[in-house]
Parts: sequence; C-alpha cells; structure tokens
Amino acid sequence: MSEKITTTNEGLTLGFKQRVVASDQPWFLYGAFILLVVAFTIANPIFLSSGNLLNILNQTALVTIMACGVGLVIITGEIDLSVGSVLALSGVSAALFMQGVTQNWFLGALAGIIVGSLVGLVNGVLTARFLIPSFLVTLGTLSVARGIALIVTGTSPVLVTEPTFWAVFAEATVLGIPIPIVWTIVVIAITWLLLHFGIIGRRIYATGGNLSAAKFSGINTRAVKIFVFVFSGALAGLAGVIIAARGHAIRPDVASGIELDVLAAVILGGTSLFGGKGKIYGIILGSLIIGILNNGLVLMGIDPSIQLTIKGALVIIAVAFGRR
Amino acid sequence: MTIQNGTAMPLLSLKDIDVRFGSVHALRGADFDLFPGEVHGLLGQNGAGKSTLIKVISGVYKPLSGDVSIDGVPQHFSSPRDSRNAGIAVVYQSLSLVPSLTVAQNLFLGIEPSFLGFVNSRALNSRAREFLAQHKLPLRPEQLVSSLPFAYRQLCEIGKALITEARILILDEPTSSLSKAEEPILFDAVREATRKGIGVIYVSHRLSEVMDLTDRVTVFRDGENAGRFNTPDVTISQLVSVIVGEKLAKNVAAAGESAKRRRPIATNEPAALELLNVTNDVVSNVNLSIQRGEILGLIGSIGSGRTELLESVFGVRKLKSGTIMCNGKVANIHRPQDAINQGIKLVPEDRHEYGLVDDHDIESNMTMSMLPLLKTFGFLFNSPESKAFTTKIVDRLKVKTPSISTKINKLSGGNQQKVVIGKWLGSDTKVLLLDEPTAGVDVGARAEIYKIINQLADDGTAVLVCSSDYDELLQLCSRFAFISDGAISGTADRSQVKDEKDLHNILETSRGRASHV
Repeated sequence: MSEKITTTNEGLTLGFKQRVVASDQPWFLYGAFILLVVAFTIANPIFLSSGNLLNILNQTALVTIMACGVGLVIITGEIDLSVGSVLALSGVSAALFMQGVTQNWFLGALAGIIVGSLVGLVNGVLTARFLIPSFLVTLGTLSVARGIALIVTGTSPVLVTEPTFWAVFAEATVLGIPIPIVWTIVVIAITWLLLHFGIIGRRIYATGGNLSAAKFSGINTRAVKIFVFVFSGALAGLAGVIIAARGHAIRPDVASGIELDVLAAVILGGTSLFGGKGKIYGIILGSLIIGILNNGLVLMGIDPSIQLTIKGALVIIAVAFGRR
Repeated sequence: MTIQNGTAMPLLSLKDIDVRFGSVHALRGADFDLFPGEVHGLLGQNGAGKSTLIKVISGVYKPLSGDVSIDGVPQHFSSPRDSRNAGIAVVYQSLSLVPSLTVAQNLFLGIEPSFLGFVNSRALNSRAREFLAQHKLPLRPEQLVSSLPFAYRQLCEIGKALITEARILILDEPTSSLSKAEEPILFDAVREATRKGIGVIYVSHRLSEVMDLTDRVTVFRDGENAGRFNTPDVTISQLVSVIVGEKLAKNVAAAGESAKRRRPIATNEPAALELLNVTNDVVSNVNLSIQRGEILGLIGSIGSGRTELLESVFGVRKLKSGTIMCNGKVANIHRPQDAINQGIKLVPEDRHEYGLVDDHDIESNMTMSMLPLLKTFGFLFNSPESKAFTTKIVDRLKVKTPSISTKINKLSGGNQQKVVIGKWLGSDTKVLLLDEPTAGVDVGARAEIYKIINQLADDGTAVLVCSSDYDELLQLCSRFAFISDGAISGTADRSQVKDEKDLHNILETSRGRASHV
C-alpha cells in the first residue's frame, strides 16, 4: 500500500530526470551518422560507392582498433592519451626487430605488440599502483614513447622489406575484404566478448562505476586498471604493425594527433568520461562517424587545417551531449 | 514551553493539501501546523507523504488543492525561492557547505562584508563570531568546514539558515550521520533556536530522539494524517503502531524477543571470528570473539574506531599487529578478497559510497561480489546463471522492484540496502559485519532487514552489528561490546540490559573506567 506510492512516486521524479538528462543517446548517434552520410552523398555521389565505403572502413581500421582499447580504459574511469605515440613506437620496434634480429613476420609483429603492451603496463602501474592521475601519466608517455621512437630511428623512416608481413597486416584480402578490416573485426569481437561476456567486463564496469564499491566487493581494481591499459597498449601496438605493413616502412613521427580521432570516436560513441558506462556498438559507430567525417571532408576538398578544427569542435560537442 | 492553546496564531499552517503524481495520490487532505518556538516531529514510513509535504512547504511542489499560510496569510509558492523569502529554510546534510572554506566564509557566502569588491575578512570573522555567540553555536569562525566533525557541520548548516533570518527550520533526518554522543550538540542548537521563537519541523526515523526533542508529532501514513500527539502523551511503541499500522508493529516487537532468546549454536567449537590484540591506526589491542549463530552489537560513538575495526577485519584497512582467527585458524587478510574467501563479508556504513554502483542495475550490483563463482569455463560469463542468482536473492530478500534490470537509484533506501546484503548471500557467509545496516531505511523495511539478519544468524552465521541506533541493537543483538577511543571498554549480555538508557550508561561508565586505566 504505502510501498506502491514509494516506488511510483520516486519512479516518476527520477524517471523524468533520467529521461531528460541521461537520454541514452543512440538516437543522437544514429541521427548524426545518417545526417553525415546523406550530406556527403549529396556533396559528392562517389561517397556512397562500394569502393569508397570499403576504403572508409580500411582507413578507419586503425582508429576503430585503438578505440576498442581506449574505450575500455575510459569505462574504467581512466583515460589513455598515449595511443598515437605507442602506435609509432610499436611500429618502429616491429620494423627494427625485423631488420636487426629476424626476418620472421610473426615475431616482428609480436615484438611490436609486446612493446605496445609494455608501455600500457607502465601506464597502468603508474596509475593504479602509484595513484598518479592517468591523464598526466599518459600525457607523459605520449611524449616519452614518441621521443624514444625518434631516438632509436635517428628520426628517419625504417623500411619493412618482408612481403608476408605486408600481406598479413595490410595487403591481403579475405573474401574480398581488405585484411585491416578483418583485423578490426577480430579486435571488435575480442573486445565485445571481454566486455559483455567476460568477468573482466563486469569488473571494468564496476571499477569505473564506483571504485570504492568495487573494492569493497572484493574486486582487485588495480589489476583491472592495469589490464585495460595493457590491452589498450597492445591494440595500439597492433595498429602500429598495420601502419608499418601498409607503408612498407614506418616514420617515427607517424600518426601524431591520431589520439584525438580515437578519443572522439570513443566519446562520440556514448562512453561516459566519468566511467562505468559505454557500449561496444557505440564505440564502433563513433569510429565510423570519425572515419566518414575524415573521408567526406577529403572528398569535399576541404583543407586539412579546417578538418582538424572541425574534428576538435566535434569532440567538445560530443562531450557536451554525452555528459551524464 | 507552552504552545498551541488553540487561540495562538500558528506560524505555518497547511490545510487539506492534495498532491498527485499521475495516478498516485501522494498527499490526501493533509493538515499540518507549526507554532513559534515549537519542535514538531514529522513521522512516517518512506512514501507516507513526509517528503512530499516538506517539498510543498519548501516550494518544490505545488499542491493540487489546499491552503498554505504563514502567520495566517495565504501563500502561493511557485519556487523554492518564494519559500525561502517567506522565511522557510531546509537544512540539508552539509550539502550546501563548501568544505574548503571556513565557517565564517560559509556563513556569509554570497553576502560577504566587502569593500570595493574585496572581502573584509576581519569584519567577516568578527561578525561571524558575534552571530555564533548570539545563537550559542559552538563553532569558531576560522575553522575549516572540512576539519569539522559531522555534527558541527550541521550546526554550520543551521547557522547558515538562521543568518538569512529564517523563522521556520526544516531538519530532514539530521542525525542519520551522527553518533549518539554527537546528537546532543545538534539538539542543543535546535532548542536554542526555538527559544528565539523559531519553529522547527523535525523529520526522523529515530523515534527515541523524536521523543527527546519534539513538543508534538504528526504521523503520516499512505499520504494521509494518521495521528497527531503531544509528545509527552505517547510512547514509542504507540508511535510505531501508528506509523506502520498494527500488523508490522508486532513484527518489530517480536524481533526484540528473539534477541533475548538467541544463543550461540555451539559453544564448544572455536569461534567463527576471533580477534586477538588487533591493532591498526585507530584501534589498539582489540580482543573479541563471536560464535556461530550469535549477533554481537558493537557500540561506540563515531570516531571510536568501530568502523575502522570492521574495515581491518574485512581487509580494507591495514592491520598493524594482532591476529584474526576464523574457526580456530589464523586468517591472513590483506585485501577484501582474502576476507571473502574466509566467508567474512562487510555491509559498509555508506551504501552509496562503498556498497553500490547507483546507476547500474540490480543484477550487476548483486553479482559484483561473486563474479569468480559465476564463471563457466575460464573467463566466459554465464548470463542466465547470473540472472537466476539475482532473481533468487531478490525473491528471498523481498526486494521490491519491477525487475532485476532496474537501476539502483530507482529503489527506495530499504530495497537498496537489501541489495547490498544480498550481494553476500551467493557464497557461504560465516561472518557478516554490518555497519549501520538500516541508515535511511524506513520502519517497515527495517523490520524486514532485521528478519533477514535473524534468519542468517539462525542458519549459523556469526553477525557483528555496529549501529548508532540503540533501539536497533536492542532488537537484534544477543550480546554487546563497547568501544571507545579505539579500545574495547566492556561487554554485556542482552539479559543484563533493559533499555537504551542501560546501554548508554554502560558505554559512559566503561569509557570512564577505560580512561582511568
């Protein structure tokens, strides 16, 4: 009797507030997505050709792969700004490893991914064990990793001469699909499994949702945080390997500023910067929007400096809309 | 003090107030009045209409029909600002204070004495000192609010209300974060305010303090007036019957009876939990033991080390020295996971801070603590199993919710607390540590939580309860331990204790003894 009033009463007030403030934003995301596609198609009909669509997916592969890692970090309530530099250091490491140690494409790629994971480990340990805010830690490693990449290469590009390496990470196709897209699908599948079916996924949500409550529930929140940073580092490593294979060489200053695209994708995808909220489909959609935007702006012949401005503004707008 | 002789003009009067939310009739013909210099208790379960009435008075809700008048003059509040301008102040639980500022800066926030846009801090402090002395508030103007204990922060809140010349103070659950020892500080401030002719509306779940402090009480049930009494004319048990209705009142009384009868399940086996000379940064050389099936009440004021002791047993606070034994074996507890593996579970004091992820659903909260048990091969999470577990616990604890995917922040306090307890029921619970298990929980849900705790003890769990609510401890516990200044100062059996006064006396005398030694 009185209970009925309790639930309905609170349900009403909270429910209304929730609807206004927290409107789970797929409509916003889908709307933006459709709007972009329509606008770019009108501006240049080539946009909607199957060739261009595959091209978009291929170009977006790197951002999507890294967004999966950074997405998990952000759901944990932390942030990873270092992925662009980690990508460069990993790509350079893979290339140098194949030049100096072994021609084997697999070991070369593994070396790149391991270097990425190690930087992630440093990020994770400094954040979780030494309680330095991840914003500062990863801003530091952003600079450190890029610096090391420049030092070990003497600032010049490193050639990649192994054709199998080119094929496996950049040039082969599976059922007509360029292999970077296949790698992206693999990464999405793994992240999806971890996040929505893995125990680690529940722990990630709990840690980001309420750190103290997670600790008091017996969750090793340090380990969770270290895991997501290592995961993010490893995926940045994979992205570095793909970029090295794509260009048959890698420059130590490659992909600088790509962390902005990655963060924009994750945030645009509805991931809460406060932690505890975010979905894999949001991250994918966010990445696609960034990819389409990049591609469409190029097709429209817009100046790269203006592109940069538009993307930056978009991040701010996304945060404003997505703030919950 | 003398009041309401029928001819005096009430300070505030509400007549025949109706409030509806959609199809729900939150208030039906509610009446309420408040005289100058009176403390008027407002009682009722969650959802009975108390908060709605407060929100009508403070201008948050507009009633569908009915009259609100101040000094006999009809009022039409269309916003909280209108209500504030009419001299009504709601004292929130230190929500409106800036912790990094001093008492004086907080009091004069926005109305600082200034010269050319610069704050005149000397004038600020001296005016604050004058004001605090005038209202007999035991605060120093230069103190940082962040350094104040909770009770004093609330005094600062009250001061903030008084400085705006409020004539009606609304205190909503002001003692829920105070210890027994701190309560008099608040009560003195309230009485001092009434001496100046201010009317106080006092909302609380704790009936003993309502008896101490109020002149009259009004009880709401199901959105209607259920009774109005002059406080000296009623007893707590009469009030409980009016608040919950006859049936539930019996449950509450029955719980107290079962506490008196409760005995450990087996006394010849090693204790379920035994603490030997446990010392951390707050408590020192604590020795305690609890048998299976026992409910031990740990009594002490805030700052006595009771919460910190529980935290060390649960592995969230570092142990300096001493031993924790489980069933006669030494337990090495360094993290919560170690405690959980031993079957030791903690229901923390502040469920929002330490117990729940408020905007996640019931299922993910309930399973948060038992993920390792739900894994199928290796790491894959078995979703049906987690749903089945959650549904089972929700049924067992009678959590009132539309579904297990309802978000925590849509549940009432009592149901949230049930989820926190439910979190620990998935695996074998040998020792259950409860810190303020019914803070912010209404009387009806309280009885249900007592039932759950009793059931667990009957099934062989050793239970340790910390609470500032002595009535609660009397209803639950078969034995008591007293803690002050980080040390156990005494113990008592339930049979040695008649009422709350006894508990209070034992705590005070044992504290005196401890400080002598």
